[in-house]
Amino acid sequence: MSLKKVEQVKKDKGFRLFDLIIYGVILLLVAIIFIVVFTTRNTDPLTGVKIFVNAEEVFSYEFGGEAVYSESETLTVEEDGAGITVTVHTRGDGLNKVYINKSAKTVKMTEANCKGKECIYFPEMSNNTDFIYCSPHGVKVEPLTKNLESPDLEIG
Amino acid sequence: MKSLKKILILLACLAVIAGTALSSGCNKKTYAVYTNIPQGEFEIIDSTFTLGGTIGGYSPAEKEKGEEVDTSNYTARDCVYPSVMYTEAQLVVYGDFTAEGAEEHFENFRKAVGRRLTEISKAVSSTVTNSDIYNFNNAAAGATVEISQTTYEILAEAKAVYDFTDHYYNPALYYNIKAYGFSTAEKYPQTAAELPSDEVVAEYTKLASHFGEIELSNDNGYFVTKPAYTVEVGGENLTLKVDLGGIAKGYAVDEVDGLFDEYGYKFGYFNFGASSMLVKRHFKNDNFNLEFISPRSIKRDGYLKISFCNEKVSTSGDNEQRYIIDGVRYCHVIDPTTGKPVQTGIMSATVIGGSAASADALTTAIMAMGKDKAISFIEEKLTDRKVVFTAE
Repeated sequence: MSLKKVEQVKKDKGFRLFDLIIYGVILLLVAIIFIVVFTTRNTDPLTGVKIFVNAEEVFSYEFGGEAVYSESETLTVEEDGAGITVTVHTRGDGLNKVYINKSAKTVKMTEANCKGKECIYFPEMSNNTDFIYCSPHGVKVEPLTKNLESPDLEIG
Repeated sequence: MKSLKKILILLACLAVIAGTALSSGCNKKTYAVYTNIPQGEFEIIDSTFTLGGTIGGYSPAEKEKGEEVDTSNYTARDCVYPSVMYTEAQLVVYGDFTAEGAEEHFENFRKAVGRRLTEISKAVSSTVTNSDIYNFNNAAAGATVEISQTTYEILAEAKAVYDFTDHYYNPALYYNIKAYGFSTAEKYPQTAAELPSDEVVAEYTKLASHFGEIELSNDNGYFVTKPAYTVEVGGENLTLKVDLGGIAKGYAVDEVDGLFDEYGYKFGYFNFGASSMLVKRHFKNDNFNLEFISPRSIKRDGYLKISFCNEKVSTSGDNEQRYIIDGVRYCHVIDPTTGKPVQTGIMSATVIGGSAASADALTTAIMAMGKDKAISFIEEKLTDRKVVFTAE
């Protein structure tokens, strides 16, 4: 490094401190977001799921247990050792496929023919605060457990 | 010089970030909340909703404070009733279930609720053969039909709300609901060509406007007489038919409220399909926190939060049972002035207080009124109830 360059770096020293402050603030923000997201999140694992069509429960399954549903034209359930695929047929030739991974204890909407297909992009359910909702078909996948003692209710 | 360059780059980055944030904020669609609830008693929790205006006139009767009860031993018991009126109902009761006979008492209560829900569901079903409404709908014009006390009470309440709302609530829009695909047996239209024609809709609407002519009597039994008016559509003579879906769930909530009293339960709630609800007391802090689901949130996020207890609440929205054709939203709430799905700009309406049956019907009426009419109606006539509606 030439002497001129060294002099220039020395001149820039004040600004390096300013850079460090900026980096520090960014790191602090990232740390705060990380703490807020991961400490306020209910991490109780998923114990099972219920599937509703237009608010009517059509299927429920508790990991390790038996799937509970009524045989009908609107619901097809295929089960193997690894998982359960629930196919729901709704009004107007609507179709939604939900896959329950038994060992990973996760649930995912794998297929839907609704407009927009937003439900497919819902994150995989893995804890008891997650859910998947297909608004056009009225299909909702919810965690099996509900906290009956909670004073929090929803309407609408 | 180099420092200045770095500062300029940093400022440019910040400007880009701020510009992006601002432009995304500008493009974000916002919705308005109108309510007569005093500020401070509710909280708007979604930034896409802003208070459009407060509505005056709210002057509730003084509420008695619930008696002090030792709830230290209280736990919850619940029961889910699947497939009642095409939805699910959930009963939750808080009590001391270590007491002798408490579990059996709850079991009897749970069964009594189930029996009452089944009775109501069967009475008002338009598809169950020989139900009261099936018989009424299939009777000749001008005929008198014997009905149960349950159906009599629901029809009487429906008539009262029909008059109270200047006919904005009208349960006789049966053919309109069916034509737009909102009956259980129908499929949603997929294209504009599958929608009913204006002429046909006008005939159905004309028929429904005669709902006020139905006559109820309770002399030695319960009876309803059908209006003599008919319309001809497609060569077929149509008589007036009713769909009580917009009031029966609320009525069921009122009946369950009566059963809570009969069985001596003061703590708990009864949630009928998240559209009508009985909210008693919570065993820890009396109040429940009710979150109103946004009618425009795919993830069903809440937009407003309010805490209360010992009230009944009903809601209607254009987000449930709806479809979109050519960018136009068609929902299950029919505007009795046009005979078509509401296009008033009101997305949802919620009423807290009074009977759940009337609240249920009132929410439908408010959605059909449109913003200005709804505001004056709430100011003049709903002074004893808390009302919230959202508009685009």
